Amino acid sequence: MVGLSIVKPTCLEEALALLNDDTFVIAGGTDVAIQVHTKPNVTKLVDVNGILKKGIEETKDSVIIYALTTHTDVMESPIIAKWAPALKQACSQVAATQIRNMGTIGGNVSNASPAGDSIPALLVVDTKVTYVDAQGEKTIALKDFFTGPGKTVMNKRGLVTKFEFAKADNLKTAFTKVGKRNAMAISVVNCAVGLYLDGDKIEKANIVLGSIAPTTLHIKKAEEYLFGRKFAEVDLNAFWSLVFNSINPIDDIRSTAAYRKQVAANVARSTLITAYEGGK
Amino acid sequence: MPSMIGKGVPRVDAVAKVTGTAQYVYDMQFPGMLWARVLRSTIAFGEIVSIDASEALAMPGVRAFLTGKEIGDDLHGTSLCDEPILARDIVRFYGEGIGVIAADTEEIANEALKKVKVVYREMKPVFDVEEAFSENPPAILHPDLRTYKTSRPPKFIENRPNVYHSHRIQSGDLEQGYTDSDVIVEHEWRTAKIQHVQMEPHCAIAEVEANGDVTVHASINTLYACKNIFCRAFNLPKSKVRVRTYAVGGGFGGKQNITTMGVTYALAKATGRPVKYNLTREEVFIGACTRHPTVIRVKDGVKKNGTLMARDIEVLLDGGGYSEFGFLVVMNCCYAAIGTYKIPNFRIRSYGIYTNAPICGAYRGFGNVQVQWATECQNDLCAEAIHMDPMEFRLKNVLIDGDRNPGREIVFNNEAKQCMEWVEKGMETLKEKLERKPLPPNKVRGYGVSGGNKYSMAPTSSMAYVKMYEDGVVEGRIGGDEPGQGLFTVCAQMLAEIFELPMSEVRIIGGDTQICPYDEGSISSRATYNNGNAIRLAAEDCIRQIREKAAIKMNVPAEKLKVANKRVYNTDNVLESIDVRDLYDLNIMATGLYVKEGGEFCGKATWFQGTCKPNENYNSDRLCSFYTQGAQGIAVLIDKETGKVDIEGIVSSYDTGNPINPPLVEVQIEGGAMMAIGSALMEAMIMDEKGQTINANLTNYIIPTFKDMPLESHHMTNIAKSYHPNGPFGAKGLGEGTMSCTAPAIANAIYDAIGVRFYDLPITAEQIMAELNKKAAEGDPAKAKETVEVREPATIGV
Ligand SMILES: Cc1cc2nc3c(=O)[nH]c(=O)nc-3n(C[C@H](O)[C@H](O)[C@@H](O)COP(=O)(O)OP(=O)(O)OC[C@H]3O[C@@H](n4cnc5c(N)ncnc54)[C@H](O)[C@@H]3O)c2cc1C
Ligand SMILES: Cc1cc2nc3c(=O)[nH]c(=O)nc-3n(C[C@H](O)[C@H](O)[C@H](O)COP(=O)(O)OP(=O)(O)OC[C@H]3O[C@@H](n4cnc5c(N)ncnc54)[C@H](O)[C@@H]3O)c2cc1C
Repeated sequence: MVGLSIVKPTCLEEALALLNDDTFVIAGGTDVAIQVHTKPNVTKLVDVNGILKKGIEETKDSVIIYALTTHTDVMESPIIAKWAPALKQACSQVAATQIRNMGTIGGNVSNASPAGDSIPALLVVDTKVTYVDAQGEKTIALKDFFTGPGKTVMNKRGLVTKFEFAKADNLKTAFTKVGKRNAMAISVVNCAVGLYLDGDKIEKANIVLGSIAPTTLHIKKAEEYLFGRKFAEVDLNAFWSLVFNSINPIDDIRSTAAYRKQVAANVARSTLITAYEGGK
Repeated sequence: MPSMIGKGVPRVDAVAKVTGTAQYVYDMQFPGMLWARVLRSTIAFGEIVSIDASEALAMPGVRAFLTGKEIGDDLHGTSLCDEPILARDIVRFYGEGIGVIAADTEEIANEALKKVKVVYREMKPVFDVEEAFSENPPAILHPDLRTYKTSRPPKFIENRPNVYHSHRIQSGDLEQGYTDSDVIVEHEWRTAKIQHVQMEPHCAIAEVEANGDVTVHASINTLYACKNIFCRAFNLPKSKVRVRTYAVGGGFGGKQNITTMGVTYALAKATGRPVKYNLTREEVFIGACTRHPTVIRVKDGVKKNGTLMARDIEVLLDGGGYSEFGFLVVMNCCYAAIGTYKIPNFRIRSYGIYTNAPICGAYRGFGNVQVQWATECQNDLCAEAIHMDPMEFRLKNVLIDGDRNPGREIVFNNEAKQCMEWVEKGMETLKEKLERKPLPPNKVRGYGVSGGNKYSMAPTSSMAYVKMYEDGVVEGRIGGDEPGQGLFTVCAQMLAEIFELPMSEVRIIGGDTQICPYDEGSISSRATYNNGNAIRLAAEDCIRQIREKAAIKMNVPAEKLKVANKRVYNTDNVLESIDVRDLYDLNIMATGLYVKEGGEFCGKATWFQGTCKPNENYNSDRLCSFYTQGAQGIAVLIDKETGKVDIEGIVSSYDTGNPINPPLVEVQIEGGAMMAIGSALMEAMIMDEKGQTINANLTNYIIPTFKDMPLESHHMTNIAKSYHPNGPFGAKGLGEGTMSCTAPAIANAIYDAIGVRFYDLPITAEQIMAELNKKAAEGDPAKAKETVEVREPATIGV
């Protein structure tokens, strides 16, 4: 940490030119401030606060969240409450007020922790992420953004600028976090569910789990099982088994593989029910 | 004047703390100050073959490097001197300090540390306390144990080379007790290694003057114990050493070690500059002290009518590499088992055992909390075995005044029964409140209760000075520590009461051995009782001097005079009074007042709390200052899908004697419960196979937050009506006892909710799920299949 410097570029191009393996982008800094202690190679922090945008916008068909939007902004946004309640729930369960006031959505996603709480909630509303790198601006599905724990397709050479998802009147979502305490807890398992409904028929389902694999995951088999099915005809135990058999979490300092596997299936099932019955 | 006792006056340090002006050593800096960093071992057990710091010393900004040998201190300890400031030839745990660097900045010191080369010759360590306890342990940590200096002889155990001390209290005839019982209940209980996680990490700044005078500014919770141990370690005369404390960001028993004082002093002496050492949060876990993990075996005999006939307890205390205050924990933990219940046939044996782990010392409760984890869960098991309500069982066996406890002490001022009865009623109210709303899906609720006590050490003593200024303001000076518990506030209240002054006209000075008298520290819940008594006696002495002086001035016998609100009154005629200012004379320059004869109005006193001499079974009429008593009832809500335990409600009643400041008592009770929730459900230091603590940080060592406490309407706290005949204004102490009921009450509540008994702390969500799965598998095979099995080849990512 000796000789760590912070640079404040004035435009995107300048910022991009600074990015390499020995630099960190810093947005809210709530991950970076800890990471610099364990990454002695990092000598430069590139502060993007002057150049990226913050805020939530509603267009005719979609909702846009800019990278510097904080968890608190998301929590308090009526737009998010209306179109992505799972995201509101997820951001309101991040850490505690101080961290939520500083930590950004862009940072949470770019950090690519398999335990990041906003990620499953963004995935279940089929969010697209826009980032820029030396090759220019790209917009891709968020589910294709993560390549491993702490790793993204940007490969430390890009900047996330915004997220966008379609407003869907028939989408119901819910989010559940399992942590070791009621605040300031890294998720041992987190889960978000999104159901696009036609009456009581599930047109499309997004079942997403975090902290159970190197990246946050869609549980494909469970999604396929729900596809086209009336909710009343869903065999919740079969759904449970599909989730259970689709994941292979690991033991780590926070929990055990066996616990995560069972609890992931349990919360997937309960979040599914909550999304259908209580979600909007 | 309305009485100041029993009044919730604001803390005397409230404004400083709220406005951020309170001084903490962690933040203090002196001109020319150097920063120390400690080099820590990367093996758990072995010889230090060589340490080469030449490269580090060559770095610009590096001023000194000292090894443990170069520091050259005498081994120190509490009674048993087994601990060097830094390891010399032998390293006894992973992370033990082996060298220390002083540099211009902390960053340079950190960089320099990386350049020091250490060669070890590793030895086979012992981590498991039962192996360490055995007659042929895989490692003997202190082969020279029996030759170490001691100030109170340790009770070693023949053929058990890692036992540094043992204790025993015994009465009656155990075998007869079991014979007379209808049911025997026997189990083994365990607690994990935990750390206090004080808000302010341990730190010290040392200065050495040209004449050799030493001043150490430190964040500690035993001013004089630290000074005395420090002086002994460095062979320094007491008059040459001044130890100062400021606002201390939490102690909880964990700030009694002299390591930070020792390394900063050695470096200050070597460099001629003030030297500061701040532990990092990570270092606090391994470089300070922790709570003893324990293995506790209890065998109870009960009669069908609920009489507890016999209890035999064996406590193995995993002490880590050095005994430190653990020496006292070995003895003190025994009192937990004798403080609350009548047990005619009784034995407790405890053993302090070295293992290759970070040092274990005092932690809120001094071993009493661990022992009561076992006994208070056993009480529930006993009650269940004879189909009795758990609180009824406790009430049937609870000690009342006039009884003899299992240590043969004559019981007095014991309000355990009152506390239990209050909690019993309180739980009905809580239940009624909670059950008004339907249970959320997948959740089950349970209720549990516990009793609990904490004895306070004796013989013990405190001293005080009390001085009146010419403006009538009264100042008390004590050696007792204020690590946040409120000692200075309650002592100020006592002065205000005695001198009949408002709080603004009294103050307490502490934290400086140069100007404050001797005390034995804010440990053992002793501070209010002992410092309060010393303040009371010194205040009386000061008032005696004022009255004697006023008697001459007023020509009224001193016995007839009363000091109140800066005046001296004739009690026969209250209209006759003088201002205390009139007791002084004006000096010739007319610039100030002085006392012409006899010196300042300055009282001094020693309070000494004695005991009755124990017999060969360590029994006697009185073994301690007092017992804090308490009871608690807890409601838990368990999520069957995640195993998560939420504390829904806490009902507490504690007997702390007459409460000097009831709101301070309430927050102690709530804070103690919160700390205990951590120990019950979350906290455990985890060591890997090499002995390295792998969660020595606040990301992975989980402590509760306020969100884990039922703070509002579901936390009901009662202070029992009580008055200790020897306490200052009837007060006893409180700090440690507040942790004793919580973990067993939680475990008992979990049992009530899901029918699973846990024997080891902490009780994690993972364990709860595993036990629920087992139960499901036993009870309903179909359900079991659903919740655990069905394994197809697993796939990631799909
Ligand atoms: C007090 C504190 C609280 C924090 N709270 C959070 C928080 O709630 N959320 C958050 O995102 N960050 C949190 N952080 C930041 C956190 O340190 C990092 O963001 C995050 O990367 C976690 O790091 P890790 O190395 O433990 O987890 P990682 O190793 O990145 O993995 C997290 C989890 O993903 C799973 N996983 C990882 N790799 C694999 C694999 N190969 N196969 C299967 N499963 C795998 C594991 O279950 C693992 O526990 C917090 C930091 C602090 C200091
Ligand atoms: C005490 C504590 C508790 C926490 N609890 C939680 C929790 O409960 N749940 C949770 O999900 N997280 C938690 N976290 C982790 C953290 O707060 C979140 O991940 C947060 O959203 C990160 O945002 P930030 O703006 O602070 O990111 P920063 O720390 O600034 O950056 C995080 C990472 O993303 C990169 N980055 C940031 N912005 C961009 C960008 N626009 N483009 C490209 N790369 C970028 C940085 O280089 C860095 O690698 C916790 C952290 C702490 C310290």
